[in-house]
Amino acid sequence: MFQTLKSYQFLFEELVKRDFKKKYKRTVLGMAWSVLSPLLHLLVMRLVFTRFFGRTTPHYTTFLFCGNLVFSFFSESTNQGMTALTGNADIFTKVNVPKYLFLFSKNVQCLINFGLTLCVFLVFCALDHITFTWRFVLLLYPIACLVLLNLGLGLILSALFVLQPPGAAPVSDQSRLCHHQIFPRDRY
Amino acid sequence: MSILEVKNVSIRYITGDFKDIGLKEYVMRRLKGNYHVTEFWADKDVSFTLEHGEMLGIIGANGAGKSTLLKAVSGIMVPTEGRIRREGSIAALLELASGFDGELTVKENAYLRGAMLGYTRKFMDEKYDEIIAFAELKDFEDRPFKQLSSGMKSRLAFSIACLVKPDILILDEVLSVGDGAFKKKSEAKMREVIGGGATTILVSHSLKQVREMCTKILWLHKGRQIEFGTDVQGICDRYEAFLGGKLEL
Repeated sequence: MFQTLKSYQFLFEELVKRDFKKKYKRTVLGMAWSVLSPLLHLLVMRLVFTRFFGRTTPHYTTFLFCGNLVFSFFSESTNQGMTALTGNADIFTKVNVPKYLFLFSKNVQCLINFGLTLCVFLVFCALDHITFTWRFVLLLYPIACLVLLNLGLGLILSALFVLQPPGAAPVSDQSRLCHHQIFPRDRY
Repeated sequence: MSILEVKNVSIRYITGDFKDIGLKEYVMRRLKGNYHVTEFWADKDVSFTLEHGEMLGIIGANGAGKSTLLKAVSGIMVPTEGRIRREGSIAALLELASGFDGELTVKENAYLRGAMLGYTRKFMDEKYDEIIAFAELKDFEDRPFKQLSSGMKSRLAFSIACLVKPDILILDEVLSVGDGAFKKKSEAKMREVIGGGATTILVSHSLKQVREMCTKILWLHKGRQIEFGTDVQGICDRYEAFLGGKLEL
């Protein structure tokens, strides 16, 4: 399979570029939006949980950010991956390209977003006076596992999504079920 | 050793309950035994072989199953029955304007389409100016694709596609595209590509083109193979007689 991936490298790069440009084409802020959006989420959640529900765990904002970061990577990846096949139907029904390339390009785009927010998270950590130890490098392993999970779920969901009648709600029952099973809410 | 061998290929489409309902409905109906689908055989038992450098013309009325057969040959669809064996790279130009995205600029779209046809980035960088010059779109390079007229879109699609150099080339009614003067240019360019020695499969409704260029003919009607052979003029005559109502199948 890696052989075919290498031979389709140009197409893959072009697909990733295309998805990126399409996502930010109509927005004023452009790329800044993918940094701003999790920060705003974070702000809202912090206000809700500290003012209204009164949790007082130390370093609470960073704690929230951590969970939010991982969950939004998973959620965005699977949601976008779900429509990877149906959204690109007019390409692969006319040109012979391996269909999993479209899912991979959506996942790469989400991974890049995740990378950006991870950098912001590290800035947050520095501001919150959390000590940086060498153990931070171990983070790479769960991230790699999460990427594999996203790819696998995306492959299943995108194939299932083809059976959905056109015009159905974008977030289907199946994917919501998956989200809730894998990330139970009491994490917060 | 033939370059393309199609043996007893049949392709089936399933219509009915299969796609119009969601996953939940599918499971429910399966459990209740209420699940009905109809089978539509787009191609039934088609066989032919092609040697290197030959040109096959596929003729038939609309709905004969020509495009579906081409999709199976190019690997986009898998035949329900039968076997297809191919040697070498395939470029299928089944629809010129597929894969373009309205929001991207002309340049970005050209690169994307080139990537889909299997070109490398280096190749695209070298040939990009040639493509734009052939399509006469120099002033429109940075415009969003949706702002082009349909003639411009087909010209761009054609000029990207005509640089392809595969072992097997598949053309689905793309030989004469565009407006007036471009039509002549495009036809000449395509003949150049075909003349370059690739094994070609051509689907065309223009019998004149088919008679002039093809070495073998395949005649399909409603999915069934009526005739296949090297007698180009004979088969075309019989096909014309059929179209004129003089021949019964």
